[in-house]
Formats: sequence, C-alpha cells, structure tokens
Amino acid sequence: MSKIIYLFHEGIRYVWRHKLSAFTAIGSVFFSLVIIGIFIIVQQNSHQLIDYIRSKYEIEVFFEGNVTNEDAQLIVNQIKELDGVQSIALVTKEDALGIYQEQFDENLIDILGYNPLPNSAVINLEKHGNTEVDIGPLIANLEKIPNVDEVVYEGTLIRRVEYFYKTTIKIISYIAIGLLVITIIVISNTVKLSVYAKQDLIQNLQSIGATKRFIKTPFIIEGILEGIIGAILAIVVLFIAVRSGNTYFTDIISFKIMFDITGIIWLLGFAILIGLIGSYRGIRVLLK
Amino acid sequence: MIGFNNVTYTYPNGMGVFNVHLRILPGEFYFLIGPSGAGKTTIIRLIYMDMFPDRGEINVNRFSSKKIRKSKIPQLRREIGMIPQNFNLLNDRNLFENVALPLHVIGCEKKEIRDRVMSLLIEVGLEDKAYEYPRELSGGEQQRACIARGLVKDPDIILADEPTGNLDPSTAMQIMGLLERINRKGTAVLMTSHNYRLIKELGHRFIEIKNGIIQTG
Repeated sequence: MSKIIYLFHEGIRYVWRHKLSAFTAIGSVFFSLVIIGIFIIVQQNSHQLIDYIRSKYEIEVFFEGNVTNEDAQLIVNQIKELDGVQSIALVTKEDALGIYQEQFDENLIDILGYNPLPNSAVINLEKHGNTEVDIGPLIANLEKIPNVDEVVYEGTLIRRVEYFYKTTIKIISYIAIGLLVITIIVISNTVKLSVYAKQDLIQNLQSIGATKRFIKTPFIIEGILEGIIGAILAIVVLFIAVRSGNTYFTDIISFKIMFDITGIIWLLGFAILIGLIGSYRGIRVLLK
Repeated sequence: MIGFNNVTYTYPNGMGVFNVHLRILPGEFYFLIGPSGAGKTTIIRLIYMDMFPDRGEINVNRFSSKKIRKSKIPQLRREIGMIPQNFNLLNDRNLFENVALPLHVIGCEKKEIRDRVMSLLIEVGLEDKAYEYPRELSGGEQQRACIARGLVKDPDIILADEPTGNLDPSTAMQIMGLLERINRKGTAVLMTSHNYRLIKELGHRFIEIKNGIIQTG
C-alpha cells in the first residue's frame, strides 16, 4: 500500500516538477476535449432535431377507387403490422372531400356530381435514434398490398436529410479521432521529455533494484493526471457554455441543450485513455 | 557470496577483463586496485549484472549470470549496496528522500522508512542535514549520504566504486572508517581504488588488476 501511495505521490511530483511541459500537455488535452465535448453535445442534441424532422416524414397511401371504407380499414390494419410504421391514420373519401373543400374552398360534388377522391391513409415512420431511416423496404411492401393504387412520399427529401445526418456524424467522428491522436502524441512527447529529464533518477532506481514497473508507474500516473486535469477543465468550460446557452439563448433554441453525465463520463474516459496511451508511448523508448 | 569463474568480458575496443577468478566470502573486506582503465568498474558492473560476461560464470549469492532471468536482476541488486564515485545523489530531493529511495523500492512502510533512514543518517553523522539538498552539502557529506543510501536496505554486499576518489585525504579516511565499521557488522565490502597508499595504511586484503588481468589476490 505504501508503495502505491509513494508511486502516486511521485506521479504528482513529476507533473509539478515539469510545469511547462505539463501545462502544454494539459492545454492540449483541454483544447481537444473541448472540441470533442462540443461534438458530443452536438451529437446528443442533434437527436432532438433529427427526431423532430423525422416526425414530419409522412407516407400517403392511396387505395383503388372501388375500395370501400370497411375494406380501407382492413388494409390500414394490415399496414399497421409492417416494419417501420409507427402510426397510421385512415383518410376516408369523405374526409378527403372535407380537406379539399377546406384547402381550395370548392365542393367537388357540386362541380362533378360525385366524389372522385379515393380512400387513403397517412403513415408516420418509426424513430431510429442514430441510425439512418431507410424507407425503401416499407415502400416496396406497401406497393405489394392489393388495392393500393399509389404510394406518395418525399423520397428525395428524406434521403437528403438522412444522408446529411449520416455524413455529419461521420465527419465529427473522424475529426474527434484525429484530435485524439494529436493529443496522444503531445502527451507522449511530454512524458518523453520528462523521462529524458529524469535519466539520473532512472539510473539510480535501476542500480538499487527497482523493477521496470516501479520506474514506469509514476510516468504513467503523470500522463493520466495531465489527461484528467485537462478533462476537468474542459468539462467545466463546456458545462458553463451549455448553461449559458440554455439561459441566454432560449429565444433562438427551441429545445434545452443537454450535456448529461454520459457526456462527462465519455470525456473522462477519453482523458484517461489519452493519458495512458500517451505515457506508454513516451516511456517505451527508454525502458525496452 | 561473490564468485568469478574464468570470466571474460570484452568491450568493442578490445579492452575489458580476461579470465578473472575471484572469490569474496561473507564479511570480507577486499580492495580492488589498479590504474584507471584497468577494469575495476567493469568488475563492479559485472557483479551487479549491469552487463554479462562473454565467457565464464559469475555467482552473487544465489544468482548466477548464466541462469538469471532479466526480471530477477532487480532482486539481485536489492541485495547489493552500491556506492558510486560521483555521488549520484538526486539534486531535486533532500538527503532524507535520497537515502529513503531504496526502501520505497522494496515497499517499506512510512514509519520503518523514517526510523531506518534517521538511524543511518545518525550513523554517518548527517542527522542535522536530513532536509538539506545535495548541492548544499560538501563532497564528503555527499559521499557519506551515498554510503547511507547503499546501507539503508541492509545489503549483504557493499560495492564501493572509488568512493574516496573525489575527496581530500582527511575526508577519505573518515569514509574508510565508516566502511570498516560497516564491515565489522558482517557486510562484505568490495572497494575499488587506485590509491595504493591508502590501501597500504589500512592493511586490508586486495586484488590487483592491470589491463583487465588479475595480477595478485
């Protein structure tokens, strides 16, 4: 136990003794994690936006002209069972006539002498969280149903929205990975500098019988500490930014920006990982 | 305790030690003498297995240079107290921390560390300098601190590589007195030196080495 306390104390001492390089490493972790944190917040909150857009996706299914209201209800029940359908509303011939009259201020029966509008149904799609909505299979299934005359949907718009969302998430992920790699290199170089500055200590330790693990551990603790300090600073800044956003921009943003514990855990996890990989890279040259 | 059996180690430039036979038993005090470059430090480094012989075998306590695994070298070194010529104290730590370092390596408790370090600092006459830094000490004081650090883990063997080399004659005699006192308590001491006069005055057994070859012993 006393050995663990000593090694932890040494790790803190290493950070303290090399304030300038530690400051660089902490600064670089801070910068990277703020950017990554913004991405996490965007990703967490884009759900709200994409869910809103997806709730507006509608598919209209028009039935053959000879389909009665009763038959239409049977088809609606059949469609309800299909994959990807969240809800479905039947629009009877009479409903359609009412809607037409409301929109165009004309009564079709007065003009034509009969109601030419068919029975139809409006489908709302299931929400998919992060995954892209692919309406292709549902459309194909709908078109196979007997007495379905036409399926109308805004295919291009849905595809564009989904493609844009997918691409944005992909780009964010690549940038985040790039930043993580850069930060790992910075930490590894900081630890390397610290290792070179402690050549005499390392030689001393080797000559008095210290194991490689004993020599390496404080350097690893140094890297992890720099990562955690950088992460805490980044979390504080992001937290303040989100709070300010929610307080001062309520007129612009219609929903409350979330930055929950999951985001914080992710950032701390990234920080520990960055510190660990960075310091391992830093010391491996010396202690082969 | 320390045994060299026909050991040869050659550096790339052709120098080294050749066909060395050596045997030092528990509690013995030996000088290893010879001019600079004769191979004294090479023998010391071979003993704590900082390098391995090209030929022959070295035995230190239960460890053999032929069989020892790399991971066991730290264990061997914990049984040896090293006293280098150039003091080798860490300038960013005070005397207490420098002397305590080997005890942290073996995982001693805080109280034990405090007791052992302080009693050794008293023994080497540095108790009032415990919290001073190496740069604040004289050469003799630094060397005494090195001896305290070498002794703190209670080793079976002390390897002293020219510990008086950088000291004035009176301080050198003080250091020798200290090493002799340690030896009387049962610790084997192997000390390298090129100061023939000092060795003559003390009258200990010695091994003479020239150009890597043992001359007398």
